[in-house]
Amino acid sequence: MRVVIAGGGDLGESVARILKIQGVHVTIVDRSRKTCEKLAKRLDVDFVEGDVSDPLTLEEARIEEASAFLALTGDDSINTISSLIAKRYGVPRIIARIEDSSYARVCEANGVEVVSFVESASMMLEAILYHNKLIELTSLIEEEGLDIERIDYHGKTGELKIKHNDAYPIMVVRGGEVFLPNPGLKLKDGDRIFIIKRRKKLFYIPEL
Amino acid sequence: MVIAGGGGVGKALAKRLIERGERVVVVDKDPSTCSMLREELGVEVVEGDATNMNVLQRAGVEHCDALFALVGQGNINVMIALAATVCGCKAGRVVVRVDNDRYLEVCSMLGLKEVVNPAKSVAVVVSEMVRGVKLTTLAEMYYKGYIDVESVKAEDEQYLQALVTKIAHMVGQECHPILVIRNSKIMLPEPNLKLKAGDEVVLIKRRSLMCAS
Repeated sequence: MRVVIAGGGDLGESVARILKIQGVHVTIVDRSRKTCEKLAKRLDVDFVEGDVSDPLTLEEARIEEASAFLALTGDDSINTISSLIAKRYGVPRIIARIEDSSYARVCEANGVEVVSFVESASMMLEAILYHNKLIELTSLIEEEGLDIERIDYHGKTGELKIKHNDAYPIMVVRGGEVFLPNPGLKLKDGDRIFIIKRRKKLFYIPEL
Repeated sequence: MVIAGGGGVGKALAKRLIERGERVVVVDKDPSTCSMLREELGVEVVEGDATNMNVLQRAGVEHCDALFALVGQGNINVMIALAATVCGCKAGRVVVRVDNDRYLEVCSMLGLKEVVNPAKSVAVVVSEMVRGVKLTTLAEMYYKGYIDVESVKAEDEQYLQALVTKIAHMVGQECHPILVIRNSKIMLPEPNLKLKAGDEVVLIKRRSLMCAS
């Protein structure tokens, strides 16, 4: 998997670090040579120096081969424009850091997923304050080589059984209601199953 | 709740806490930020430098339940937390924002345990999105009251057996173990995993059933 990240600030660097651990090939694009040189000492990823809203720069980062493009500079308009350019190159998953709600609407109208730094950071703080263990634990989960993953179940009604040693169910969400994966729970078409798993093995099989 | 620093993250947190019905005071030294906060959130604002003890006292830091030091510079946030302690702040929760990992060690030396690095937290959210998982979905389910997550810890051998019995009784009814934390390492609660003294078990619960029990 190849991912192109626009912006080598604190956020871009942290995301690159996590993706790298997950075995993703990362290319960071940043307009500042200083940033690129500084990061090159700390991160084993590719760098392209240039304007992220310039198609030629993105081509240099081999945007057309990327499975995801992440626009993580501190500027909403640059993130929006570069995301829309990435869309033209057919990148399947595009995520932009956007703080302003009207930029967010432009992005979403064009199939770009949006993440707000202040909303996500404040959500984490709220989670810490009210002891939402699951969210608090996410950083630890990352470090330990575990993933939380969502699987959308399609098929006949059947029992949830995970045969894999390295995957473990957390919960099943059905039409806005949460079910615990207790023995005897029947899976239905359209259920969303949340599992926690070790990263090495990339699949799980529910036995029907 | 006292929030020092009314910029992006501080403001967004203030909004969330107000929606929860908490009484919030924001401290910021910038007059225009202060008036914006008053207008947009209707929140109580104290204008001034939060490292200044008089300012902290005006914000009522002595009697607050939680203090968040969220200005842009980590060293200032450490100072705010230290100044608040000297002021007699006995808040159960003191959360310090540190953007640079260099300060992590300093914080632990000074006894500041709750340290957050927003860029790292948001990076986790973004990397989950790359794989198609929205952590916010989990958080939302929690906040909307569908699920709760709780941890139980077996401090010593004596309590261990009682805990194992308790969990065995609960599982299959209203809760489900999702993780075991041993020596700060996470383990999956596989069937043949034996619990030891000091282990922490993280359980997920359905909210309605939790109330019933």
